[in-house]
Amino acid sequence: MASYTLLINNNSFTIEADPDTPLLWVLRDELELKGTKFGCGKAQCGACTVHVNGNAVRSCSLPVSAIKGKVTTIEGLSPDGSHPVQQAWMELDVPQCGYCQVGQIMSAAALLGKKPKPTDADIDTAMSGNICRCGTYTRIKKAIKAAAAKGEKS
Amino acid sequence: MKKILTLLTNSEEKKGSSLTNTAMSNLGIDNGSTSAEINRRDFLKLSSLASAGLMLSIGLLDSKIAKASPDAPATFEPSVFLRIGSDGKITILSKNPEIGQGIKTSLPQIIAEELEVDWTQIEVQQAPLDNRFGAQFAGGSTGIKTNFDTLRKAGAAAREMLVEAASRKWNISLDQCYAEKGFVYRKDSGAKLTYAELAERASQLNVRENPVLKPFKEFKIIGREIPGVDNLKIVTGKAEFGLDAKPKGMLVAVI
Repeated sequence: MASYTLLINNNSFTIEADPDTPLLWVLRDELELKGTKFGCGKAQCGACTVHVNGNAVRSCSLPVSAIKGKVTTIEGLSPDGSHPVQQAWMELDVPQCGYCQVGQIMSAAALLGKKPKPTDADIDTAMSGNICRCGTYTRIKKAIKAAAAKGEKS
Repeated sequence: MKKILTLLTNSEEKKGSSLTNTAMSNLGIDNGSTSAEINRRDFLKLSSLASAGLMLSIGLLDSKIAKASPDAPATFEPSVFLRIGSDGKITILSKNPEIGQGIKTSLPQIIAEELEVDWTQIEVQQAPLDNRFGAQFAGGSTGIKTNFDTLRKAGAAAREMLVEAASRKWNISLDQCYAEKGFVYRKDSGAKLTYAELAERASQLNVRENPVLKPFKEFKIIGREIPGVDNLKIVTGKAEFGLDAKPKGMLVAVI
């Protein structure tokens, strides 16, 4: 066990954990930040996606000892669903069962953070690691474009 | 599942409704565990019995259900599917599990339509597991079809009772009153009462057994695309899934 101080959603947390403990376990089990989901546990599905320094990462496979910088989870993206990506998700009625959607939203928000006007190819690449059993992909793509268009206007 | 099929076979032989009900309650509890063993023919038998059983077991217009809340006279609860409080809160319960098919939104749409409310006036709640709701499961794409008539009746019965409550309060005939978007109006003066104001009075009336359903052409909520009721919770990570449940005293084991 070792002590780690993490900056998550602009709050500092000090936790005791083994160095190879996945960030996801710390988020869900230690800090009760349960918006981030466990899917496959091997970075194959994207349900656990969070931001580290603005990059989309799979928290199930990121050891707590490897984190350097700022972590943002869905709870930190916006407290009330006001982020443009969340707004677009609601406007286009994207979610079905909803289990993967937090991961989808975090990947989409990271993409738009880097490329405010993504091409179709940019979207496909950025979202390829997030899978959805309900099959909401076409609405996800529309919602990303809608959020990008809104960002352009403001 | 084997157990259910055995029961279904028995009930088919005896044509007994009590066995059908038993099969139904088993369906609600046991479904899914060995679904691979069920073939198409059995499934069809099961589904057709399921819809017949539903009508029998729901007891929608059973007066015992109507008087389910004697300690809360200000709540109008004409069936298990909806509650109208004198505080103005209109709650519609969605009986089946939501697994991404949209049923938590679409079943309440059916009730809201006949209840004659605006969609924004209601709150949807997931129903608890309770035999009074009939079979509660997902699978087979039969949820809307098998619940459509029952839920319409549930909404319409409540609406008619609210109209009756208003007609008694105003001391005018029923046909001089009509319901629209959470209010009951009187035709002569245009005066209106909210469902909340009528809740207590309506709760004292007998449950309507054969309410008049709306003609399809008057539908305003059924057939309309309505965003999922849990969308805000889902996009903010607040929706609770099985993995997120943590009952008091729960321990975690790793195998």
